[in-house]
Amino acid sequence: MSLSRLCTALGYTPVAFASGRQFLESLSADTQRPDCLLVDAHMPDMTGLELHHQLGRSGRRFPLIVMTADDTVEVRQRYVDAGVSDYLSKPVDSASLIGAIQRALAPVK
Amino acid sequence: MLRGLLLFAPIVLLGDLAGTRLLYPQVGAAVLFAPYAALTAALVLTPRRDWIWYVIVEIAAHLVAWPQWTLSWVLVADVANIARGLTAAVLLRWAFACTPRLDSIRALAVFVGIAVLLAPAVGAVIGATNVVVHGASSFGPAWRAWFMSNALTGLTLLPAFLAALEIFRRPSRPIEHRRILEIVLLVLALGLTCVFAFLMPGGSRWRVAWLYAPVPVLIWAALRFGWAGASLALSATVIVAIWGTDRGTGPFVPSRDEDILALQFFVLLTAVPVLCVAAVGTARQEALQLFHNLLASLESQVAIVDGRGAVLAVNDSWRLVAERANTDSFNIVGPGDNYVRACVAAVNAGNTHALDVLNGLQRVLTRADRRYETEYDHVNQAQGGQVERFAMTIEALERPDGGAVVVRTDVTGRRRAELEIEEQRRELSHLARVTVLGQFSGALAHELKQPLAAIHSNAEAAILSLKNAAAGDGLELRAILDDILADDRRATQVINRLSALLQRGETRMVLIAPGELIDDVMDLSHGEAVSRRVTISSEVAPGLPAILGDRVQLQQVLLNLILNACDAMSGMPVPQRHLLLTVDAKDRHFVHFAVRDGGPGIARELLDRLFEPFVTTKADGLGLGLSISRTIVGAHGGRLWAENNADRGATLHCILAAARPGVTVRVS
Repeated sequence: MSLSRLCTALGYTPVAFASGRQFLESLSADTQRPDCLLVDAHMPDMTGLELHHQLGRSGRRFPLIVMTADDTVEVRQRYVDAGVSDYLSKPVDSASLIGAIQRALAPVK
Repeated sequence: MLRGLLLFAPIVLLGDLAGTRLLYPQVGAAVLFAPYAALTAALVLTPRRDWIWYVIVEIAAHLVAWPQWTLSWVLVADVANIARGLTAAVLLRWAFACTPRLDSIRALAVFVGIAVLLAPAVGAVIGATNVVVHGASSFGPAWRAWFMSNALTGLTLLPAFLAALEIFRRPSRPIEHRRILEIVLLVLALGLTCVFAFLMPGGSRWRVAWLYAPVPVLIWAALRFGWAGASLALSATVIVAIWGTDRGTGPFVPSRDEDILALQFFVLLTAVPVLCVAAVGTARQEALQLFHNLLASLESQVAIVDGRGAVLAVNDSWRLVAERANTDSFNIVGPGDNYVRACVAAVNAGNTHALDVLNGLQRVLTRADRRYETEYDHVNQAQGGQVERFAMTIEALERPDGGAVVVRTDVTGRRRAELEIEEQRRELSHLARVTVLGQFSGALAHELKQPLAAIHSNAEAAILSLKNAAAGDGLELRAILDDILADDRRATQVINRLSALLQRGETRMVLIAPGELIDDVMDLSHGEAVSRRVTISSEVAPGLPAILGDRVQLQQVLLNLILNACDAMSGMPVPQRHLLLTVDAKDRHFVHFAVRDGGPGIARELLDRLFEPFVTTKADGLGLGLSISRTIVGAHGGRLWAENNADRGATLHCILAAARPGVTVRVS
């Protein structure tokens, strides 16, 4: 909720999902494609990394920004190796969020 | 052995010579035959290999003492004497296993059976046959005379010899002057009464009455000096009686066998009750001695009070405390004082525990209770106000007049040890809690960062909203602030729960709603479960009664069970990592918590030992968690156990008593 508000305030149009599975289901039903994904490393049903791999396996790649509260070198390395766009440590401030989103969207533009 | 023979020879010779003084006129047997007693005592007290020497001395003395009779007569009579002595000695050694002591009715009965009835009967058969063979008398009267003289000897002289030898053999102890005086008075009284009974010239109408004069003195000897005193006094009496009869004084006439028999009967019938009194008296003395030794040996302070509370006896420990307690009326009590009154005085002086003791004492004395127990702290003024802990029991006495035994035991040391153990248990429990939290710490940091991150995002959104034109939208700002507050509360709650668990506090028993306990541990373990990919769900039955317990300690137990369950499932595929936390009521009286996991289950051989300290299946585990959990649950009066599930995994059960059965309490 708080993150949606921040994105809205920054001028983006966020769509929030309660879990990774909910997002995947919406993806198959809906034809609308998001420009960028903002995910928590620990979602109730899967990790950010698992979502990334599932998307990769189904051939649907999106720029993915992962946020986590338990930031360690090993975990970050794992995400970087997997090829996510960006990796943010919580709490996320508006400047780093804008930077990350802009970096993530740049190649697509 | 030589010393024994030197003592034995003169006694047996004098006994033989004395035996010739007064004889049955017709049969010729002695009235009292000391050699029987001397030989039997010697054989009882000496090793078997020496017996032959005593037998030889006995035969020699007999030959010397009875020169007027033919050799064959004396030798056959000796066979009778030796057979009697051997019978008595062998059986007495077998029956008593040591020197015979007539200190109980049973011992007296055995002694009489052997030394007064059986052995004299055996000797009398041989002796009477000898008399018949030599044509001196018919069998019946001869047997009777032999039997009676030796039965009389067995009942009077034999115990006297045994007692005398025991007195000589025992290490000498100094005798009190009062005791010596009493012995002198006793001897004088016995001498005087025996003179009146047996040495006064005949013809007086008082004669029969005087015959009983020695009896009270004999009972005096029996009661005050036991079987030893009684048998020595009886021996003296029978010797004087025989002497008097021989002189022609006293009630018995030496001219006919029947008169001699009457004399023997009289002494026998007197000796039996006197020895009975002695046996009972000795048993009583020994019981009293044991009682006093027992009392003296007790470290506890013991007082015995009668039905009205008057102190009858105290032991040394009690006396010592009474002497030191110079002003404390509760402790100053000694024999002759009244303990009930002392308690009343102590209550009036402001002694708080004296009132409880007074009530307990009166309930036992009035037989409303059989036993009263209490523990109390006592400020010892004599020891500079040091606080001592005492355990007291008051036990009713089983006797017609009632009364009680009051026992006070100083348990200060035990109490101190108990407190130290309790302190150590608390320390250990705290350590275990900190260890559990250490394992949770990563997840807990996550739990804290989540709301903080949300607050941060919300705050930034609010700032941006204020900057933008949408700032006018007060509703949006209000929603943001509400969210911030909610997240702040969430973070605060986590911190509060953490700090409660980390605190090292006294046990605080409060009413707890079981559902709240589940909420607490669900919140605390949420992050850990997420990071371990374990889904936790809970089922709380409606309308549960409250439990009385220490919230932090019970949280610790449940957290520990959850953590163990998560560990158990670490090797399982993620979809199977499911933990179910349930709480329901059993019979309205109990609240039942269960932590059910989907792990591999617990090995059968480990199931019984799971709660023992230092038993663990984890490579880095101490094995204290479950042991401490069981101790905590036990201290709450509950039960903690483990079971394997029918399908998969294991369930840990914890049952606690409902604080007020059947009453649902919502505690917040």
